[in-house]
Amino acid sequence: MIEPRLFICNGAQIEEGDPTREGRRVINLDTQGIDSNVNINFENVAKVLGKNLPARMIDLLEIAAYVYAADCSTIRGNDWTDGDSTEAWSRDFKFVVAVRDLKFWSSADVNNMLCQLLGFLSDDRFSFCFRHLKSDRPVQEYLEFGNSEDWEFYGIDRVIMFSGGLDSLAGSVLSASKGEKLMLVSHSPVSTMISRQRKLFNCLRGSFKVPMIHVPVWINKDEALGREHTQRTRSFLFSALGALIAESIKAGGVRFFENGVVSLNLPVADEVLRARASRTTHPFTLQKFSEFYRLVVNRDFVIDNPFVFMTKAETISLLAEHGAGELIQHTCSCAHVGRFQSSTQWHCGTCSQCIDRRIAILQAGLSIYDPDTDYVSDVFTGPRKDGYEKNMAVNYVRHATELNRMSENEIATKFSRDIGRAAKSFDHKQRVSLDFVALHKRHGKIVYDVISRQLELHSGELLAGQLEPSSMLALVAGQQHLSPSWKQFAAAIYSLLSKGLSRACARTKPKDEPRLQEICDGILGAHTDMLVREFPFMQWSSGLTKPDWSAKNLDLLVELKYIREKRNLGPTREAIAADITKYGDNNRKVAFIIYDPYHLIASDEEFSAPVTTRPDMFMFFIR
Amino acid sequence: MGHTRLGYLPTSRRWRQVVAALSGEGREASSEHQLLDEIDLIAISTLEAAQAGVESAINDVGFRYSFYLLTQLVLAARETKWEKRLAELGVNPSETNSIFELSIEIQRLVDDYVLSHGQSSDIGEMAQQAMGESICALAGPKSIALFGTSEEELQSAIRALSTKKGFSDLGQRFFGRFIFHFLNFYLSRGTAAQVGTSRIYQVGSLSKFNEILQTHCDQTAKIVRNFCGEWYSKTEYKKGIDEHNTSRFLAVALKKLQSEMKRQRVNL
Repeated sequence: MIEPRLFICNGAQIEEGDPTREGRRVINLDTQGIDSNVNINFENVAKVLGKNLPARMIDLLEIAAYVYAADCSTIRGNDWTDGDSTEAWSRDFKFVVAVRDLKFWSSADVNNMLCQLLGFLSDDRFSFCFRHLKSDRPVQEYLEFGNSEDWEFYGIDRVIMFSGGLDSLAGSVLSASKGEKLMLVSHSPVSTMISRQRKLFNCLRGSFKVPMIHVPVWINKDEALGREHTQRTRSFLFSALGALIAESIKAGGVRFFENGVVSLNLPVADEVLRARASRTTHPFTLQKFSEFYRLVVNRDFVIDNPFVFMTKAETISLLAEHGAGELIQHTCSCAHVGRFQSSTQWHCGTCSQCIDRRIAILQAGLSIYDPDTDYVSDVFTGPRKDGYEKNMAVNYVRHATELNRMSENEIATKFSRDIGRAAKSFDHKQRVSLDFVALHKRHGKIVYDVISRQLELHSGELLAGQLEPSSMLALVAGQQHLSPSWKQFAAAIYSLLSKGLSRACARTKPKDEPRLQEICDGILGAHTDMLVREFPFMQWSSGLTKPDWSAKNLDLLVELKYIREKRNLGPTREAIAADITKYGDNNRKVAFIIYDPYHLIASDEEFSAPVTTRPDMFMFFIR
Repeated sequence: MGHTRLGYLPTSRRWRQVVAALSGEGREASSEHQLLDEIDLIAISTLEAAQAGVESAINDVGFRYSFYLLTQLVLAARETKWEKRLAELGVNPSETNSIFELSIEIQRLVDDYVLSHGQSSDIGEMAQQAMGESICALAGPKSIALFGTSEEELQSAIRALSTKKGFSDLGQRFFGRFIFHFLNFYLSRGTAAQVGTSRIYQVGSLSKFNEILQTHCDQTAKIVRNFCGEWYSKTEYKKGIDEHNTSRFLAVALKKLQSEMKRQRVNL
């Protein structure tokens, strides 16, 4: 179980014996002063922001930064509780925060809404206790002013959240193409991301004539607090930054641009329950954000996502449509930003975001702007480590190809919980649900088509068995045809005998090996005529020897052994050793089938060791 | 920005046995056919390793409320003023123009209930999924459309489930899907890792494995089929179905499912 935590923030005071501390690990978080361990830094803001920012908005900024710091510093872990049946995924956070607008934050409505939206985002249990901020905490500490005295455009429709990825770029390009003024807000915990976002913004500004401003924000916490990568509350922080800027220019709200497949983030496997699939821009999240920020700014305020019914390939196509394809090379989609060391390559090629990006780019026909060399490992043919990298590729492709195969009704039924949960935030739920189903059907087809083309492209390597076995294409197509046919046939014999003997000998076990051979011969004879009993005779030493069965075309011999009593173990081992020598000397392939209905063999591994070291011999156990 | 967290199975002896059953460990060569033949063994091993999870399901708020709502939904369909009864349950009558819309409303009720009674849980999510699939399955080839149907047709289709036999069908479907999602919550962490081996040699083989596991679970749930119908019929007639007696019923039904799987193991 993950130890519950109490975060004391903004210099709030709690007595040592206070019951709030009970059963919780206590951590102090502060954005200012000598003990500060959470950093907030807005770049390029107008000087007016330092003068007119409402106290409630500064509180919001600090609360969001503390929630994010707590989230990123509390490891969810890989432990299991409740007799190894419950995954330790959810955490329990209590915050005591000193605020300027105590009356507002202490209201039950605000507190409940905050806890509910954070709970939906993260699956964690949140509770907040607010205290009055006693000492002044100047907001200027968070701001790095640009050249402007005041913002250039008040009252615009939306502030745009600019992550530096493809979707937010496509949204910005679309808005700029319509002649809208752009106020873009970015967040980054690491410097490399900020510099990329800045470069992308400069390229965007060079491509369109509309006025645009970029406000990069750094928010991070001390490494010593710990490191958790899931960061499910990041979109709360991100939206809070957007809301703060939007309020300062009285914009109508905040806009995310995120394709609908990622926004809904349907589970790609049955293990992916609740917020294990992030809900960063889930329609219900955005609805809750809108409701919450309306309370905060006390006016009509909307958080929306115009791309919710589009696939990633469709959003990327907008870039080409509006003559901004060349900007693709400056975007970064990888989830592992800053985690792999490469100054020239921005994409790991193994995470789901890289898979999504590459498939969408290829589908949109824009690979000229996204060279292979930008990926540390090729998405389709590169090696994948066991664990996340391999499992992600398997689950991603299986999920998408199943979507492609399923009918609309099947998709709606299988994902009724998730599609329903997304549709409930809209007015026309039935139409919206149908649109979500259609969206996922298109996504499935896109993935299917791109992978089909990749298979065609690499068909030579596939047939020759030269594909990296852990690569996505090898996992999709399998290279089973490369397994020698005699091994496949041996496995089929084992399968037949395994099923047949369990039924034929369920009540009465054969009295001896010849009787067992008769039963097996009956089972095998009913299914295949490739096997010949007690044939061929082979010369060995001065005598002749013959196997129990043979498959001439495959050069395969089959030997059956019956372990009836413990005392049979020794002689059986000796017989196998003799067979290994006899058949090995005749260069034959051998499948040993060991019938051990009384579980007398203590260790299969040990028993089969003399056989498993030989490439042309196999051993199967039937019980 | 989308991120999916994939996890690992526990490393205790019982879970290692589950992984061994999946991988065919200890056997030199093993095929996809053998894996599919052994699905019942794998299911039982998983259920036994996750025994405590089954027990905790009994007290899960989302699990209990999902099943309780199914009973109330079919009972509402018996009423001449079923819209009124649906509204009493919290369903917005203007949002029930199709099975899928009704399913969205029922899911919303469970979400709201769970939120007001604590925190969501993995078990509750599995139950909600099973509930959604059970309702949407009404739209089979011989039944009505999933999207777009008349209110009368919808009520009539749900009323058909309000009989003893109808609720037996519904109960079997619910428990079959619940136990499938329960088992695959664990197994899916192990099966993806097996892709590329002789047991699950390609991505498509994993789809096949999941389909066969689901069929196995649907069939296993036959053991609670009549029990569902009888409990529903008797309880509603005698004292009315409430959350309390639903909870007791679920505990017994889960035990029956476990016993059935154990019985299958004896027969293996």
